[in-house]
Amino acid sequence: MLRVLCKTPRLGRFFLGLSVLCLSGGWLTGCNTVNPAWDTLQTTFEGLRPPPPLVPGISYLSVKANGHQAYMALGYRDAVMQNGQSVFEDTWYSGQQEMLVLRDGRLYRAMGMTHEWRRQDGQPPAWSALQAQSTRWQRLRDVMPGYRTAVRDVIDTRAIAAPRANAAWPAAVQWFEDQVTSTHADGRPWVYTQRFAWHPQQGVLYSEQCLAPEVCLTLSPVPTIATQGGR
Amino acid sequence: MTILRRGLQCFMAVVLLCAASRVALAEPIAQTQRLSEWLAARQAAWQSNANDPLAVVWTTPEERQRQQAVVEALLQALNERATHRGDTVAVHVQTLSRILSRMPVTGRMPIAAADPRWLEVKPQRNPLLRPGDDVILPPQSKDVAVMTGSGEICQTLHQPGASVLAYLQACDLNSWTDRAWLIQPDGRIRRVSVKDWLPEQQHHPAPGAWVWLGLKNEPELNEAWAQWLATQPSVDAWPAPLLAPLRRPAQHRVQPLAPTALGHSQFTPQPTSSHWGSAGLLQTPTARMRKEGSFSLNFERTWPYLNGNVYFQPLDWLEGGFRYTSVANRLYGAESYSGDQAYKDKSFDFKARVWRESDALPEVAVGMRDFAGTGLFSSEYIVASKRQGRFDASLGMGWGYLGGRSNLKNPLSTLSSRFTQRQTDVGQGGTLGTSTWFHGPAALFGGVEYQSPAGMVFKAEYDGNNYQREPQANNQLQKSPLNFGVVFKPLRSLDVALGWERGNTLSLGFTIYTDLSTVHMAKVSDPPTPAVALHRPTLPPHWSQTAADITQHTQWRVEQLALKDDTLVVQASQSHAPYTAVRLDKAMAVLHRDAPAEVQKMVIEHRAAGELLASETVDREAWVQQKNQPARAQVPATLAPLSYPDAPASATTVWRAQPTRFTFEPGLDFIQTLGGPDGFLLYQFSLAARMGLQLPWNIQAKGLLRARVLDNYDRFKTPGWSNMPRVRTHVREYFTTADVTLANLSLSQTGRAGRDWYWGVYGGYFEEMFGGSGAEVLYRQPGSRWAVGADVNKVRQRNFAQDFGFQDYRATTGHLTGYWLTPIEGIHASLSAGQYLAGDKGATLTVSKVFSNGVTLGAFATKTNVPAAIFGEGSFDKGVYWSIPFDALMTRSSRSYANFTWKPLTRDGGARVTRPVNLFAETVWLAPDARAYAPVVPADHLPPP
Repeated sequence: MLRVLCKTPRLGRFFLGLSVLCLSGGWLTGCNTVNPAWDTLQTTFEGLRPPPPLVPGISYLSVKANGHQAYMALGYRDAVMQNGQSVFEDTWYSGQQEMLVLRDGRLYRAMGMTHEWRRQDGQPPAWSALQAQSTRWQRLRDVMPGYRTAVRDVIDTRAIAAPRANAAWPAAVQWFEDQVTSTHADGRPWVYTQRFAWHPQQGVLYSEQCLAPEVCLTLSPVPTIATQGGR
Repeated sequence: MTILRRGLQCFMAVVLLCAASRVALAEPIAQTQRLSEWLAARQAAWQSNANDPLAVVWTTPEERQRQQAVVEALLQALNERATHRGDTVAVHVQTLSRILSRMPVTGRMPIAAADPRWLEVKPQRNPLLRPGDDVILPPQSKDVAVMTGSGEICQTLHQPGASVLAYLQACDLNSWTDRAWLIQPDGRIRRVSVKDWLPEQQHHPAPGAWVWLGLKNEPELNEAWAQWLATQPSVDAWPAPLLAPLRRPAQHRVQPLAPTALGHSQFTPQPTSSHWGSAGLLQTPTARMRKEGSFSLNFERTWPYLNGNVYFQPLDWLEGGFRYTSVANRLYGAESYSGDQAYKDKSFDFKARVWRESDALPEVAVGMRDFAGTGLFSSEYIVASKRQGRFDASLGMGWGYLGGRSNLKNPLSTLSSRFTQRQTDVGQGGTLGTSTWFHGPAALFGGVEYQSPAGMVFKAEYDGNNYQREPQANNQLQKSPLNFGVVFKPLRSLDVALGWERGNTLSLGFTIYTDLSTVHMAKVSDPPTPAVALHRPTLPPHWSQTAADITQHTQWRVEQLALKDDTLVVQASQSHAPYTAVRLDKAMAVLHRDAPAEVQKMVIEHRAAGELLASETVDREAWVQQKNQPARAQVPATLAPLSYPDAPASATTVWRAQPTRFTFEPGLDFIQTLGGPDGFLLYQFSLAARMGLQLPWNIQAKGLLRARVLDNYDRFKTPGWSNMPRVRTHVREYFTTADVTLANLSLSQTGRAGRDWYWGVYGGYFEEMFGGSGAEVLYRQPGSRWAVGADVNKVRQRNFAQDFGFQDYRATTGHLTGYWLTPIEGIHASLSAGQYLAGDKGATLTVSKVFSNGVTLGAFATKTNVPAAIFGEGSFDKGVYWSIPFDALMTRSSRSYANFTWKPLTRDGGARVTRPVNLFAETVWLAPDARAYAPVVPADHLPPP
């Protein structure tokens, strides 16, 4: 599903627009069914699509990109050491065999997508140690496509007040912002902002992070639906 | 000798593995397991050793054997060159031969990515390791190696962000070739530009990559050498003696790309539209071509003209298009005829590259504007373009409208004095006007454009036109022959152009563009294909469910399932779709899920015209293996063979479809008329009900009922006129007389007579305007590139209400048609000769280009024995069309196509009836390219070679 989300701008809404035109009529001399066009419209326009059925007992991650929403299922939760602290590394999978790895709520690896993070080396500060004054840290990423190795990101992370639009979060939630200075493939600077809503017990509950200039994601774990019998 | 060489190579492989294993994890595989398991078990050690995941090596005995044959063939090829080429090349070849004989035969197989968590959900990318295999996790390389055609190897430090050209400069190497081979440590190979005049956004060499510059004039040998290097470890892992002659630059450090000095390698020039649709500056063309498959829709306003251009790039050396030009200060016709609608002109263009750019020479193209229209803006030109980095300069010579300044003597006048004068009689339009081509005085034009790092394109040009000689006496004040413009790219696929022209006029344009050859869409709305299990079912199958599931996943009509011994036979009709291999895989997934364990072979019989046309046989075990693990040797993947049996396989039927089936498909239809005097766009939306009834003996009934729901055809007031029987110009009457119409209703039967002859008979209401009866025969051999068909039809004009009645006009029409699927670049052609609906006799030539994703661009022209004066405006029938498979557009699989045909004018000459049967289309399984089309996979997401 992410593949579609990521590709939508690359293909251009031009062709999706063409599809809409096709559904609306014309140019369909050989067309004998409207179902594919209707399905495509549903994929294009979120409001037309019924939400997918989520399986009780399975943890999901809601992933929004370019105005589209998809869900990924939790495959693994591992405890790993980062900056001397034990944090969770969650591995999420889409139905299209794409994989996102979030370490302590931050994007750590991405595979099977239009943009991949093959490897990352960095020591982000612990959420609990962050203050309003920004903390600077660095990470190196190996990125595909393009075989970009050791792409250096300089990140200034600081605590911020809860954004007004998200004021409904529990009081314990703290908000943080990353100011990331990175580079495009052609060497031009790429500066962007990421935001995180972090709960001291539950970890990162919401984040806005960028995989590539073309693909910025809004991530939030979906509360797991209890299985029948409370298992 | 061979034994000695093999011995040496085995020894070198051991040396290399040992060298690599100083810090590498290298293990022979003791028990069968997946690579993901092997990697996961060693992840901690791997990460602590800083090994390079891109350079993970998996070796198999099967691949070693294949590579041994490859190296021997390469050595032989090198020895032949050493014997037959000149002294210098012979020395180089001998050096390469010496290096090759010392290089190890590794047996390395490519790996998609060494990420165990990802590999475990991708079984088809997750190698199944067996005893005898080796896996090596090499240490992180720090270098990039450049190998020249003389065998010289330059090893230099890797620098993140540095381009291939930067490594060449660090090594003081000049490449004789425009493009070098970049071999990444994971074995992927790319040709990348190493010239300033050929900029492109390209991959960076990763640490451990090889760059191969190649030998002059040895394309095949160079490709083979690059593939050989892809099997080798990075240069760090090679013992020094092996690398002689090795040259390591002592002081050279590769410079990374600095933001303020953007290198040549990090942008790909994208030609933008001129005001006339072709790749160019503002008013003038350049020699540049867009990428093959490009399509653009461009609107450009420069008083008093508004151009609407549709442009295609069917071949990488040819672009063409058509346009409507609205002249704001001239009326379409008398006010009583067309109100205040502005004058509309229709025209065709083309441009062809005649010379590719090189180090010293520019790219050169010749082209024509408005060569088959009224000729108001007709121009011919030759233009040259040369690029340096982000600047692209063009200089050309134009005739006609483009050469209006007349500041050059026509150089062709030295051949004949006839070239000094140019006739400007526009006549009825539509004539090719060859007598004016390259005639009259000429003018220089040209300019320069700069593609900025921010993506904007700045343009400056010298215009060759003289606005004091405008057609229709529409002269415009021109203060300066210089025009300036800028193109913004606010969105992908959208350009916005602003210009300042003639020294006094603002221009504005929009271009929507895409690459039709790469259109693709993930099928996220399709039902999930059954997972391919390694085990086979133990319960007896429910064959009716199997048939239903195959239909659901493939859109095939399953006619019958039959069993014989270890073979399951599926008979399917309506089974051809753009992406046949994808559907075969889906059918196999269902069949493997359901078929009894003893079934070893699946035979898919594709039927059409009531006959078996082709069959595909799939080995179940091999297919399951292919879906569950990567191959163990780099042999090209092959589809299940397509065969053309004379008779269906004899087997016991286990399930059979009902012989009589009714289908009903509701939908929406759209009809439009462009460019008429009553309005530029007249449209009609209607509800449509398509019905089909399949009867025994391959008799089919089908019909289409329409109900108008939304249209503006009430504005269609102008009665058509014609000097010929009015077979097509009663458009207004046919689309405005009744709200509910029976667009077609017919009965047909098709079959085969003998091995290669097909026939069809049909009768009923063929289309909106004609009905009657007819027959068609087709001669087509299986797998042949050509076919011949003939049809004859007795038809009668239908009532305007499209009900069951007919008018008085009757016609006999028919054609003899030759079809040719050329072996050249996906080009298809057909030539039909015969009698048309209005009784005129002539021929229709159709040429189309089919891209690998099934998208078709085509053009047609019909010339009959009707004189241009009687035919009316346009002089002869012509048009362009394109067709896009829904499979490429939609998120759900479909056998349908989105089709669009554009004709500048609908006249009565050269009109053909639409028949209910088309045997050439129906027998598509016999075409040699029946399975040639597939979804586009983005180049960056292909598995390693």
